[in-house]
Amino acid sequence: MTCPDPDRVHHGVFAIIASVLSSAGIAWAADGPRSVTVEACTTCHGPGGISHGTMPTIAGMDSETLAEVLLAFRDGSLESTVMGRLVGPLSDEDIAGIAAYFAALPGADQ
Amino acid sequence: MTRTGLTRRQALGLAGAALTAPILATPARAQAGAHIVVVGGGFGGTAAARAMRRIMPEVAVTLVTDAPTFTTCPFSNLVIGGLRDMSEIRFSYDALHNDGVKVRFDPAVALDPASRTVTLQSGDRLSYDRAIVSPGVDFRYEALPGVGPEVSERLPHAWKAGAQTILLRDQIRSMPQGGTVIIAPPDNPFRCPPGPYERASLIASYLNRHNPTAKIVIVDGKDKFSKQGLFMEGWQALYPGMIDFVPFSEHGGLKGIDADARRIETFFGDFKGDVINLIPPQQAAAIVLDAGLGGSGLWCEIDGLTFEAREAAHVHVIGDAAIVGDMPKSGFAAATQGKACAHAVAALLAGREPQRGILMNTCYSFVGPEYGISVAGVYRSAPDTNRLASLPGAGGTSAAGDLPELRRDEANYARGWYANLTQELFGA
Repeated sequence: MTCPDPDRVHHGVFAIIASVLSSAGIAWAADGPRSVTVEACTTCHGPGGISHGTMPTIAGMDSETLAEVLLAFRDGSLESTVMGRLVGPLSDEDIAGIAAYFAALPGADQ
Repeated sequence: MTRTGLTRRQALGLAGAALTAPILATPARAQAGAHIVVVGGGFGGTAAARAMRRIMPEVAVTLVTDAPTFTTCPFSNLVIGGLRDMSEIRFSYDALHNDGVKVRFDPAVALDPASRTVTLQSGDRLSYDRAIVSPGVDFRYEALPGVGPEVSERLPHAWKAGAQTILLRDQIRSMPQGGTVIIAPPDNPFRCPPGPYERASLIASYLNRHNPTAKIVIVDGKDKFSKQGLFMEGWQALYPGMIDFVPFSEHGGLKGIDADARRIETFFGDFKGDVINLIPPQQAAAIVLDAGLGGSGLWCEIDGLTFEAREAAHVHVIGDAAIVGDMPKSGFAAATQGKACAHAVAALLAGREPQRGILMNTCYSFVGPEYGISVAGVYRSAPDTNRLASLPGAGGTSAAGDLPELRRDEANYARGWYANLTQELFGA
């Protein structure tokens, strides 16, 4: 791994932080920047992220765990049946935002 | 390092940081009194109607459809194969009533973009601010040699689930030992590209149990089909010698159909069956084409960001009736489009720019009751053309090879997929 340019990393991270925070601030509302994208998750994982079948419930999951799992699907370090074929185009911002969104939803036992 | 130069630790930190801000699902605000008419109570229409009410509760939504219950095409092949009951694939619209969607069992017969009205079978006319139209497909019997719609009473299509599903199932059950089932799928494009081959698989599963010397012959309108390698691998593993695939190039197309004799004639020979599942070629449902939304073609061209028809403003067309970029004609794709379309319509009503989000499609097929395979795709509308294009680095089919654990897992996921999809559409 090459050593990243600290300035570039700093600016990239700053931009993503701003983006994720503003997404959260505007409300993962109807008009939040990833409100269309998160709809892609619930078609398989259940309405509101609560599963009624084999797929795991993702609502109420710890955001860091969910982000870590998505990143691992994306880099191939975690094997999957289908997730590895779905997460490739997700950016770091998408993953951070999706994780934050489902973490904030009430889980199955709430 | 991740691809944008962000480390995993940093990405995790971001996910945590996002939590510190308020995350509230505050509904968007629409113009007062807006009325959305949704045409069609299938996967696309139902998903759109429910999402519309969830995103913009102050908007009035009326969904018009044919009947008080909906029978899903997905999983209807399990019914034909004797593995599920019809009651397990049939759903009511009660949950939509509870969401505040006005559901009318009075099908739409005409759409007039100029006056922004939908005319129902009863003669009632509904005015809309925006229409979301998801009417599915019609069969092009005129493209079959010498037969009309009545042919499906003898040679069922079973390509719209319900009475036709039962008809085909019962014909297979009463077939003589050692009989032949012919499946005749059309050329592309048509609803559910892997469907005929899942059907062949699950009929084979039934025959293996009850009529093991019977045969299945697929007389196809094309040379290649969806997930072909995986299906054929599964057929070899589970039903060796039972299913014969005859590509278009080997028969040259249908020349005649004798429903009484249960025989189809092709340019290079005849095929005699005991049961014939004749799946006609398809086009967008008449309401779309009659309204001029097909242009000079058989399907509706749309804008991939808003789903608005190219030929008419304020009319959004989703699902099998539309050409949705690279997305396939599947129930799951229609549901995904229904939700994305509701977001776009909400944005337009609120005077905002619609979002360019990511859409996904995942279609599972059963090769056997415990043998599942899948195809997936990820899509986003291109910034220059708004065409919904497949994104690189994603999608594709399940891995090939002798992988029994993966096949079993995917059969389990297929059941979960159906449970969650139908819960989102029809569940409380």
